Amino acid sequence: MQSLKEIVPAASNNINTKFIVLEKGRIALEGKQKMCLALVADETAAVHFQMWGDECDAFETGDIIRLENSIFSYNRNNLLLRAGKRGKAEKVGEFTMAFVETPNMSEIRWVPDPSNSKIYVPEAVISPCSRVFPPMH
Amino acid sequence: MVDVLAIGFDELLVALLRQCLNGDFSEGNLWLCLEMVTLFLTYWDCLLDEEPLVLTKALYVFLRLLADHCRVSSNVVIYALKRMEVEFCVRLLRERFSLCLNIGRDLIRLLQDLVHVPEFKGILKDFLLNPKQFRADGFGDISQVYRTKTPSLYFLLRITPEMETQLRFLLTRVKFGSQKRYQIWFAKKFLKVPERETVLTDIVKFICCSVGITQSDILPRWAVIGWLLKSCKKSYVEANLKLALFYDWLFFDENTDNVMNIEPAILLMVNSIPKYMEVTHTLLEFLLIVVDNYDIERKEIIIKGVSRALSTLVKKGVIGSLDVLIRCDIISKILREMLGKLVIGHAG
Repeated sequence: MQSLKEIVPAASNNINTKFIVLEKGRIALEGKQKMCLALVADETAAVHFQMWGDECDAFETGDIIRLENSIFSYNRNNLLLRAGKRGKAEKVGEFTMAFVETPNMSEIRWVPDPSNSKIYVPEAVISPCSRVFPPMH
Repeated sequence: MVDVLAIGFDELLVALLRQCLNGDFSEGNLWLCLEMVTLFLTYWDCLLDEEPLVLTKALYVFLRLLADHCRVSSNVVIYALKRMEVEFCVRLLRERFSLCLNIGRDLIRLLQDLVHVPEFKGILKDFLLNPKQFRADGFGDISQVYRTKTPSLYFLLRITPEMETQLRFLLTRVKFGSQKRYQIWFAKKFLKVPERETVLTDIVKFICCSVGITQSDILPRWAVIGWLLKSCKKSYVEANLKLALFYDWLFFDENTDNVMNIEPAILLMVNSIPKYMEVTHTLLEFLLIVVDNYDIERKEIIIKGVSRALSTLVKKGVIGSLDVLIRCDIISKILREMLGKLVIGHAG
């Protein structure tokens, strides 16, 4: 199990993690498929999570979700975490999880590692918190 | 299980009582309430012999449920349920009053909320005028009940385990300043239906009496209570919440009461200055009105209680001095003068 701060963009379904859903955007249709962007977080970081199909209605804010074999990658220039076709998202609890909204892993600019172009490394912080879902105080 | 007195049947009954929700008029919840009150009436003798304290717990629960069930326009189901709940409560109070005394002072708070029901009006009247009728050893005056602190386990009875988990998480793990989202989720889950608002009073009692002091960077109890107070939409719920918040102040005795139970109210008043002055005002005003009117015959007891509460809060260092209230120019002069008199134990 990885903490959100440890995730790095990659083209493989290799992320196992757990987080709490802080906010859900509007459910939109892409082709015939429903999709919905969400802000999720754990004790170490936040990230944008893309829900697909039934996930959009199954998960609510305050839900704790375990994600297996998921992928953190670019989708039309947006860096998103999603279960993907081979991954699995499962509700495992509610409410009782601490979280931070900074850093947001989707709001970091990543570049290929000069010594190994297959690996991404963080280059700069674009925004400390989500620009899509600003923090609530 | 009750028939064979299976081990742990009393705990099972308590667990089921905790699931009878206040302010929930759904078919399932009313069914559970009816099943439970039927069970308590059916197994009356057996429970009295084997686990009498479970009856006092049921009394606490049904008195709270009745406060809701007597407020809605009655249909056939609620009417039948109400009659049985009244029957159970009245029987225990009339026949086994010494047992009921285990509940302590909050028994009176709950009964007073039901004063519009003739049966309970009669009981309260007899408490005041005819206490001997209850044939409880040593019970001579209602002030004896006032003096008994209610054990915290009774407050837990009105909080579902799920609610308890979330509230304890809020008060042990959530940093002060990061509570907003949790509060929204809690409200969405437990307070979505307007009728559920009545549970706010129970949450306040639970926080004051069943949750310990929080660490310095964690969301403090007074801030949660401030949020709950702000969540009240109905004026009678707000009044009940304030009474619940101050109830231990009215009869405070440093030898038997715990300063932790009265700490949230003073901190809420003090920390709301100056940004949320209306909170300080409404609480202080409520306290002073209650002192004057709660039990006119026993006003001296209440003045003494509140005076002791205030001096204990200073003595134990909860607040440095009462000057933060008494010398605060933005609080109305009349309130400050009345408070000043209370501090030295005189009538306002």
